[in-house]
Amino acid sequence: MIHQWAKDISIIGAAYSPFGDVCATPSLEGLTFRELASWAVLEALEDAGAGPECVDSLLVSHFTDGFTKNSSHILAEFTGMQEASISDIDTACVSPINGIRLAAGLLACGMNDLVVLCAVEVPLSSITITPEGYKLEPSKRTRTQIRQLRDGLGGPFDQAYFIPIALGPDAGTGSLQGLRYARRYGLSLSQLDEALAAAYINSRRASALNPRAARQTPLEQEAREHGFATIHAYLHSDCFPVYDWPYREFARHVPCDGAAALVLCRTEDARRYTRRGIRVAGLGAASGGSNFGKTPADGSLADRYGEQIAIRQAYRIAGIQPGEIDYVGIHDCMLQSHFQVAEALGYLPEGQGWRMVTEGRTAYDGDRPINTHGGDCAFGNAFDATAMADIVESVRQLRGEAGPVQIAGRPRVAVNHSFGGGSSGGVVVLKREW
Amino acid sequence: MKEMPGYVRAFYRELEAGRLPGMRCPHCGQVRLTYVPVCDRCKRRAPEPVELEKRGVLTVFSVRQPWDMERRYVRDLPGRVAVGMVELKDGPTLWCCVDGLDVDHPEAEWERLPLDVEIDIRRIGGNAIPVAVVPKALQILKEVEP
Repeated sequence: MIHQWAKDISIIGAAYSPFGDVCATPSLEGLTFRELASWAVLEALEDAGAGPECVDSLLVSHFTDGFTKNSSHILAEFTGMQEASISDIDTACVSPINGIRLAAGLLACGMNDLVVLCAVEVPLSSITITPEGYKLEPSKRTRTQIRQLRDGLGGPFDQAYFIPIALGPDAGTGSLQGLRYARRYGLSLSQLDEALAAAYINSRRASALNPRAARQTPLEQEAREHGFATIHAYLHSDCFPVYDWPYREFARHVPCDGAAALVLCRTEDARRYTRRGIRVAGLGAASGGSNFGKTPADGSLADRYGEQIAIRQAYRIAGIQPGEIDYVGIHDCMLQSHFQVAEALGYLPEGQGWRMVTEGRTAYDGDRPINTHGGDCAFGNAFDATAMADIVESVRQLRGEAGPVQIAGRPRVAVNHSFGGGSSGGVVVLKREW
Repeated sequence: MKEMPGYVRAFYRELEAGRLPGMRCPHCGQVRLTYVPVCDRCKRRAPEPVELEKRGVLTVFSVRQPWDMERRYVRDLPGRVAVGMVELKDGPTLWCCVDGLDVDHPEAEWERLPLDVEIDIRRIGGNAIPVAVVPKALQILKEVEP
């Protein structure tokens, strides 16, 4: 049973670090998880106008690397919060939304006054133990190691059934989802390809304006540098090989390192810190179980049961209709999510989302903007850290602080979605009430 | 299945024996692949193990490249491999490998969907797993249809 909350909760601080590669991106070079995470946490506290001494709980999410697991106490000390209680959250890319859910509980019951959430991932490098001792400098994982890590991420999927029988986790999130969408709504393969390419171009247009995105080079320039006269020719060249027919590499997330953080308090206390608080108006989260071996429900997210439940819960608590939504953040690690999830959220009309993406209407300067920071395929995917950065971006849009990608009008309602592999899902509704 | 057995082991043991194992809830009739102690629809205990019919309809498929797959699978597969979603006759969806499609010309195969398939049990990646097979005879019949 889902109830209205006893107390309203607001996000009063939000920040994300640069996203990229700690072994290659100049602004991140040589950073370990603690420096990356503290970058986001300290900026978020500054944004909130609060000091680390005010923080009662620090909730940290990081699930890809065994070396950084259960090390939130290190982050607490590094950021001056060693008096705060700490907890680790591990529900893959739904951790930020589950983190808000847990923070809301701590705040609404009066146990805490200020809670910090942080999500950090450093999947592209490792700190290893050798016979000579710790190798303290991050060392670049090989392509094979990154792939093994990615396949190890099958954890959110069902390791006993889904991974061995569907030959890895990709089938659950990627091309089969897009292809089923195409069959359901009558798209040809070329129309599906056109929609995916358009979603990528929209994402790259946004990330080119984001100094903290993993992909900042304008796509036209990158195409020219590779010797292609058009973006279309570039995207359909060997630079983006078909990895899972009919999907090319551009339709898959860019794995990277990064961190993001949020600061939350009760809405009634928000004014003590800032006048720019954004209320968490609704939240839904459900495991949905594994999506393997069940009879699918109807709709564009047929077998992603957790996300369907999360959408219903969040909208019911927030008391909103899809027509009221001004901006949507989607965890689009596989690009079809851009339209598939936006339709399930009611933000785009069912079966028409792909067309609106193709027409550029979901770009930051379109009338149905999505992922104005660039999304998982251009901003970069550090899993739960990107899912939290998605929420940071929504907060900035609602405050009117999104700089060159600020959407038109004065947005009042934003919705964020995430899913954690398999079918677990989370949705949060944010409202600006000033 | 009144006591708590090793559900996963029991599932793979059935596959080894050539059967496609599932459960049917005696209370609400829900059918699913794999074994669980609680019905995911009516939430009552003790759904009963059943052997699912090894037939279904392939609704979508993609083609995976060997360079993008784990070695344990590549070792047992001929090269590129189709992975698809099969709506089993008994209701549940099975995500699995597909044999019998021309993976060099997936666009042409795409036009033939949906395709009736039969489920065969094969050893891939160290496990006996269900694989959807597009029967040759069915392929030929589809080709001569107007």
